Amino acid sequence: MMEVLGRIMCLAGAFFFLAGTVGLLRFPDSLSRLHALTKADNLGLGLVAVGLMLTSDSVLAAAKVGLIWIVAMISGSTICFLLGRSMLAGMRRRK
Amino acid sequence: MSMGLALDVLLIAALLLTSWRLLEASDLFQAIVLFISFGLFLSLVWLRLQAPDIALAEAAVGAGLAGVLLLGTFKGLEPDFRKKQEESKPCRLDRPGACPTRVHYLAALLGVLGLAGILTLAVLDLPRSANGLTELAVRAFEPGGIDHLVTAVLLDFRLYDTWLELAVLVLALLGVLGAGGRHSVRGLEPPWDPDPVLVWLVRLLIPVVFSAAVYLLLLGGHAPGGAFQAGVILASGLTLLWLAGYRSVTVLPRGLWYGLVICGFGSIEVLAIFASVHPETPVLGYPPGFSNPVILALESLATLSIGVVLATLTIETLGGRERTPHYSGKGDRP
Repeated sequence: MMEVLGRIMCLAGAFFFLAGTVGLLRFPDSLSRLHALTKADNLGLGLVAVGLMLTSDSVLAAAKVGLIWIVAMISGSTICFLLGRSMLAGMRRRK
Repeated sequence: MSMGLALDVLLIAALLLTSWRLLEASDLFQAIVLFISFGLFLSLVWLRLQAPDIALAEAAVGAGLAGVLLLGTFKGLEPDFRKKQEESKPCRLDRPGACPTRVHYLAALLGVLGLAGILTLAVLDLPRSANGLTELAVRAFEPGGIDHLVTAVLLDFRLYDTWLELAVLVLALLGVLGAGGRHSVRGLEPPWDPDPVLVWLVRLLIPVVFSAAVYLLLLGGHAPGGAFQAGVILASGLTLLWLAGYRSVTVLPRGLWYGLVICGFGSIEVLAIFASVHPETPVLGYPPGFSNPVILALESLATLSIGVVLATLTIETLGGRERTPHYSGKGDRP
């Protein structure tokens, strides 16, 4: 049961990664590309992490995956903010 | 076709594609981004080859640090940035009136010729046919002891491996500082004011980063990890501290900084000399009765050196600005 649920979660995460990648390639400007990318980062990675936690052998392994997710989410959102800010500053300078 | 094989084929295709695109790219920035993705794919390949040691190093150095260095260099190629940088540098090798004189160049030439001569002699002296270290490596691997063959092999040679890597790093540092006309990065400030959000992230991450470095260093005794991987993480921590305006390698007194840069290389050099004069020890071997705590101590020094050298390289490449006289506050945070 857990196994099946975990795989479904991983597949759902993979779908968000795919959607994020398509967005990254197709969206017109940097800010909306960043928007697409962060969806993949947060939701995609989160779902994959939950999936892996459900299928992992031990609580310790699950906790490690959870920790990786938290650190990746914190650094990912901060970096997204910094990127967005520097893009905005660049756009203002060009005006 | 099994899942593993499918993944391998995909990885190889991705490696070939990125390396081809990387060489074909006319845009430098694109080439750098492709190089970073190439490094990430390569580290996945190392993982598939069950060499997590090398995968860690490749991800941290090949994709992470080299990417930062390349991006920093790319930024330095922009014309107005370069002009600004050059104004702040007292002497450069490529300019008349630069600090080094003919005597310096002559001494360098003699040193280079001497080294070339010794290297030529060493190559001529090599045995024509040899199995290399294969036999030794296989003997070092005891089934059931360590999970990863590559780790088992590396463990027996890693200290000397790290020693030579350190030599390369110190040489690279000399080259980069020399080309930039700087003696050290002491007093350099980050090129922009630290963002509050970045400062928050750094405060949060620094304990994690430093404990990860210590963990990898200690883990190196029996599992994938070790001085180089720990050193790279230490370097990223030091660079993050610098970027957020905290104390980092830029506040070290010159003497302490020199000491940290060479302590890793120097201490393992002492071991190498000791081993080579010891009658029962092969060249670059460990003397009999050589204990693990000593290896750990040497690896710790190597980690410190690697961290400081790589952080200095990154800071110099990212192009800090000299501390301005009316500067107040930011650099003095704890």
